[in-house]
Parts: sequence; structure tokens; C-alpha cells
Amino acid sequence: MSQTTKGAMFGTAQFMMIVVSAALALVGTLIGGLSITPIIPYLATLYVGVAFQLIFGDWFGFWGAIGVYIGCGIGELYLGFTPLFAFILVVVDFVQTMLFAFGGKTIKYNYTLKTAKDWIFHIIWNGPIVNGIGGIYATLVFIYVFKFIGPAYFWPFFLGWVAGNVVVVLIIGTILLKFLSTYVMKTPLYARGYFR
Amino acid sequence: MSGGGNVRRGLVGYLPANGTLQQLSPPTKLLIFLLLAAASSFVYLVNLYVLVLIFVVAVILFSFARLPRLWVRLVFLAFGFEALGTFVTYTVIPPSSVPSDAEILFSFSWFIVTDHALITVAHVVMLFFSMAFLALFLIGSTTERDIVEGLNFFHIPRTVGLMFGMIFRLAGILFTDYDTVREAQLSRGIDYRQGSFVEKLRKFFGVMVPLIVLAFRRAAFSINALDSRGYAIRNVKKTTFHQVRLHTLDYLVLTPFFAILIVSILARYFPWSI
Repeated sequence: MSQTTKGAMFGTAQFMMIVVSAALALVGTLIGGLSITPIIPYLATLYVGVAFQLIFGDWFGFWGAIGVYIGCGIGELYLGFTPLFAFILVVVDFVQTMLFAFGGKTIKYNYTLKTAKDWIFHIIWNGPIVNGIGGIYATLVFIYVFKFIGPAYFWPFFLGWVAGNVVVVLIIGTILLKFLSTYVMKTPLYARGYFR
Repeated sequence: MSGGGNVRRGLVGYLPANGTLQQLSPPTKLLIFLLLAAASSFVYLVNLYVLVLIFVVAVILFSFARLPRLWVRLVFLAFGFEALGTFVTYTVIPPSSVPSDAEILFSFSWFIVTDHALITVAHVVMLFFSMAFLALFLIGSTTERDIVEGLNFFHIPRTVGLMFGMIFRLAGILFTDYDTVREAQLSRGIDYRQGSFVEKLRKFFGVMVPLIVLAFRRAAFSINALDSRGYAIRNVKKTTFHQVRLHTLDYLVLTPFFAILIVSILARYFPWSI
């Protein structure tokens, strides 16, 4: 029997979910890293990675979150973080992906965003709430653990993080979710169990 | 195999095959990266001299990797911006935010330069540049198989090693796919530099969507390939055809890096000894 049909148990499908989400999260992190400007340091103007967190959270659930954690962690190594700092920082990516997945599981909204309920949930939960939680963690880590940013810049950094991520989630994430979900659900990669 | 001739497929694109670093075993290359990364974590915000030493070693390692000069320019561009940003967040501050123990070296309105700020920024800049060059050294000296064999040498489960190898492989393929899709769009007359924000966004999706679909298609093929070969993901101990061992050259190369780690630990926990 194929290992791909065992639901939430770890088989080849789950293995490849982690590989795909990690590879795309790695690419997204690197693209995001190249769009950093000195206006507010360490904040990418177009962090595509957060859109990948949304889709992998919704499609792959827990396995997507693991993949995002690994992919973003490797990506941060290329962006000048030590392994220790990278894996402290990317906890935020893991948590955000889990929150996207958990929200989708709880509300059971349609990924193709067909009803008003789907849209309201997507705009409110996937937008400011999840990214606000992630933003608090990231800001505290950047300022008080890594000390990459002066403490006087707490609010600009936090608001910049949330605003940048919300824009990416609501524009790029929405389009990817709406137009690719139907395709992904037909592939052996779509998560069964562990949040969906 | 890594590939014959003078080039081989690395983690991103093709790289020279006959370099000095290619003679080292995979675990040695991983260990060099990890030892220096650990050392820099120990001395960050503690000892700038050791951090500068790590930076110099990272630059030397990077030069051995013989990566295209474009990478150096990218590093200085990306991290130059971050360094500037860090400097701004520590110096453009309200006067009430200046730490009480800091000595003010220069001030003009909200632009206040303190000794504390300069030292912190120097640490941040050195750490970022060191790690960036180290990461590029790793990219320029390893292949996917090196990653798998290196992790296997440290008794990391085979599945995890394979996973990391496939992640790097797929990421490398995605960069190639990106070029292919982009060139296909260019050949259809799409100009990425022109148009409004909405039009640019549409063009962006013209690349992004095929890229994701390609990644999923490759993943589906891989699932079939793994299943059809009966590759067990869980609870199976596997043997390997290639046995990786450390040789005298590896031990000789690793010795100074262990020394740097020890110096870093001493600098952190016994600062009077350095």
C-alpha cells in the first residue's frame, strides 16, 4: 500500500509537503530579503514568504508549518543570521503558519473564498490578527534579544511588520489561495488530518 | 555524482569543480560553518575583536569558494542597507532614549551618536557580514549530496538528511524554473519594468503561479518515485553506498576553527582571559 494514503501519519506525501513548503519558503525568504530598505531595517517591503505561510498553513496544516520553519530558517542563514538567531526568529513563521492552519480548521472556511463568511474570516483573522501576534514576537526578538534595532523603534518596527505582512497576505496570499486551492486539492499533497 | 569536468551543480547553479574546498569531506565543510557560526554567537555583543577575526576568516573562506563577483556586490548592497538602517535606529532617537551610562560623542537635535550606539552597530554589522560570507562559502562549496552525507555522518536520521537534500535541490530547481518562466513571458512581449502597480502585480502572478504549479508537479512526481521504489520514510535503518570518513587533511583544516570556537567561549565566559 502506498504510504501516501495514511492520512495524518508521516509518509511520503507528508515528507514532500515539508520539502515543497520549505523550498518555496526558502525562495520567498530570499526574495523578501532582497527587498529590504533602510527606511526600517530588517523589514522587507514585499515579504512574499508570509503569503506562502498562509497557503501552506491552509493546504498542508502542521506539515506546512514544519516546512516553513525549516525553509525560512535556512533562508535567514543566507540573510546573515547565525543558526541560533535564525531558529529563534523563525518561530514566528512557524507560529503564524500554525495560526493560519488552526484558524482554517476552526472556522472551516472555503479556501476558494466563495461566501461572505470566507472573506470576512480571511480579511480579519489571516490579516491583522495573525500578523499582529507574529509582529509582537518578532519586534521583541529583534529589539531585546538580538538588539539589531534600537529600543526607540518598537512601534515603527511593529507597525511596519504588521502592515507589510497584511498587504502581502491580502493581495498575494488571497490570489494564490483563491486560484490555486482547487488545483492543490487534486494533488496528493493536500493535507488530510493534522488541521484539515 | 557532483558532475564531471570543470563545473558541477551546486546548491544554486553551476560552480567550479576543482577548487581547494572540494577536496574536503562534506562533514568538514558543514563543521566549519557551524563552528564559526557558534563562535560568532558567543562573542556577539561581547568581544568585537574576535568577531572581526571571524569576519576575516569568513571572507577568506568565501574567496576559496570562488563564487561569481555578483554575489559580493549583492551582499554589500543588501547588508549595507541593513547596516545603515541599524545605525539610524541607534542614532536618530529622542534625547530621553539615550542610555544613562552612554557617552555622547556627537549630537544635533535627534541625531545623537553615543559610544554605546557605535559599538552595538559595529557588532551587528560584523555579525551580519560574517554570516553572509559564511553562508555563501557553504553555498559555493557544497552540493545536495554533501548535505545528505554530512548530516548522515553526524547520525542525523536518513530521512531528515534526504529531506534537507531535496529542499536544497528543489530550491535550486525553482531558481532555474523562475528564469525559464520569466524568459517565456519576456518572449511573449511582457515588459516587467513598465506599467502601473496593478499591472506589475499581474505580471508577478504570471511568474509566481506557474512556478508554484511546477513545484507541486515535481513534488507529485517525487511522491510517485519514492512510493514506486518502496522507499520507507519511517522506522527503517538504511545503509549507504558512500561511506564518509574524515581524513588527516580534514582534521588539520578543522583545528583552527575549533581554536576560534574555544577563544570565543573564553571571551564570553572568562573575558579576563582574552
